[in-house]
Amino acid sequence: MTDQELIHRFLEDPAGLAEADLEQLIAHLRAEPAKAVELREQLIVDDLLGQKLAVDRKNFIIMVQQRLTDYERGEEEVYNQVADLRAIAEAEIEKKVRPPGINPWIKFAGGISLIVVPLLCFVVWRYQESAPRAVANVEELSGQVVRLKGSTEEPLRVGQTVSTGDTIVAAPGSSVLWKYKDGTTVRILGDSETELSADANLAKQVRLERGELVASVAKQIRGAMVFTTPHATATVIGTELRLVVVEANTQLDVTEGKVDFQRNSSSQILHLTANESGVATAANIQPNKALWPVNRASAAFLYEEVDKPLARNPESGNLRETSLLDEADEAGKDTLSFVKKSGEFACDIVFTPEKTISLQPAVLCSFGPYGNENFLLIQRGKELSVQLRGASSSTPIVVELGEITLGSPHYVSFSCRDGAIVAVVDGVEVSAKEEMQSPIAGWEEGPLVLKADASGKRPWRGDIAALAIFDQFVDKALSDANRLRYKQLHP
Amino acid sequence: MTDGSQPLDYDDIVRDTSPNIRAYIAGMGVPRHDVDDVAQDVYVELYRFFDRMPAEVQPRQWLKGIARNLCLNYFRRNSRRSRLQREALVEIFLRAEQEEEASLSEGPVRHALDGCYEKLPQQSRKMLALKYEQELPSATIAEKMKSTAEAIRVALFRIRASLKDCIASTLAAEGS
Repeated sequence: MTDQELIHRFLEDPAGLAEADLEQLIAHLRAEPAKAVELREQLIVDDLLGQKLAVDRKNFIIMVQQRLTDYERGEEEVYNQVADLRAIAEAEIEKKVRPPGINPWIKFAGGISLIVVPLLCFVVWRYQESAPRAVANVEELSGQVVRLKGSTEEPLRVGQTVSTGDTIVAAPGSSVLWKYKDGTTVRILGDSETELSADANLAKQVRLERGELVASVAKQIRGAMVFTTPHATATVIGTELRLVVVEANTQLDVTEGKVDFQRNSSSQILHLTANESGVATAANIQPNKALWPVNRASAAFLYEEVDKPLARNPESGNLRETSLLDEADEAGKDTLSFVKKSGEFACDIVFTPEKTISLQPAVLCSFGPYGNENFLLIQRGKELSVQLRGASSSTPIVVELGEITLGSPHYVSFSCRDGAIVAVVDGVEVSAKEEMQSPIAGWEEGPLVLKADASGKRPWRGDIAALAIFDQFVDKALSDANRLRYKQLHP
Repeated sequence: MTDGSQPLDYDDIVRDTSPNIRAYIAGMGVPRHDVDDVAQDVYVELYRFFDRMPAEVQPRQWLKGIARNLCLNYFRRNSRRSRLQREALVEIFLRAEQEEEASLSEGPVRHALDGCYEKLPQQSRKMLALKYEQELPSATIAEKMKSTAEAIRVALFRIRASLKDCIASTLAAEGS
């Protein structure tokens, strides 16, 4: 056979060449690389023609969806288990010579099994559908979170799976994040009660009785993911959202994608898209003005350039107007009371440093007593850093946030709690420390000051457009949501 | 993440890249009847590890990486006797990919093929229908067209070569 004939044969059936022919073809292609290029192009066009003309290749996307459905159902495992049996069965079918005569009892048993096996499969399938199914893994957890299964209660730990039928209860100041196999994540914050379930098609469902939930929902192929609360239902195909349930209402903030938000006792639906918000009560459902930050409920102090600063009143829990000029001490004291209570601290700040470079350290934000500040955000030249008061020692903890561009706006998030520090600059996580004892227990009362330290020294030059201090940890996802919301409101 | 701001949609990626990825798998010598199985495995892998796809990498490039590994696995699994030869062929085809002037596994190739197919003579389209629509072997086509199997293989080779030139020039024109 000539080399060209070999190529033609290979194109006709790439699996059909004998070993010796393959050796010859390989030698030919190695000797003439241009022929290898030509053969590869022929194979590609051959396949494109197959895609265009072959009937059984026209529904590729549907076949992929089917494969994903099988994968989701965990049938890969079942498939592997029966693969050997199937191979044996196929080998039997391919045998050209059939054994003469089959025992009638074997035929009878075969007939019975044809009826019984599908029935058994159906029963098992129905049972599996109603039985608890492990659906997600606990990826992060802080504080006290327990799982209720019937009348039993057990502490939840990182690495455990959560199943349909589980009720997850978190104590105030706690948080838990679980991740589904498709990448969907649900984070529960603070005093909350949540139940996991699934519908008949195994579409994900979460019921939030009370508390706060932030979800990032991957594209759903088994049907919309449904979040229910005592007041409303949010139906999601793929998006990022946040739900806050208090006794009187449910608030939904949509960060990305689309969500149908329906009040439980009426057919009225709000179609919410990215950066929109809605509130459902027992009596009505209505759009809500989008505000920065999205986790406003956990803000202890808020400042946006256009408005007066707001500080949460420790007595009532409501935000009230304050002034950083003559009420800096009170703002600092109130903020600290919330932070110490939760054991978590976070700060989101939007600022533009002056274009002129200065090598002297300058303080953007100071929180705590002069000389022993709880939190300092410092710029030196182009470098940004955070200095935290340590829990026990007098040595402060310094976290380098990296270089910033002078004259350009920046969005910085910094969070700490027992076991974790996270810093995000303009959407990039620049620092993440674990297994560190929270310094917050040792923090002391002192003023909250912007653009200088508490003594008025180390002045910082530039513009601070917004500042939020939270009594809850702000992770990368929440920081991103806040940054995008700020961008939407201040384009 | 193509532009760094819009999140990628899994379904959009499958729709946009599947013609190229299937052709790419075929271009490594995987038999036609197994190409779609391997391609489905590629998209299941993408689905399983969707969050691991680096933001700066184009989905098509990422998928080609997965496809390369799965093709090698395919030959290891299915070619017990000629495994080494099959792996050598994959290596040759990967090298050929680097030397290719106009990449046929990039861009809207299926759309380009549709246009080029319409330009083919009636006789060529008839032969392609017998080969790809009815999936007949060359010997059977030869009987129907009163020719020889080798002559049919040569004719198909030439038709594919002309289609390849047409697709490459269409893609180049659209690219420019």
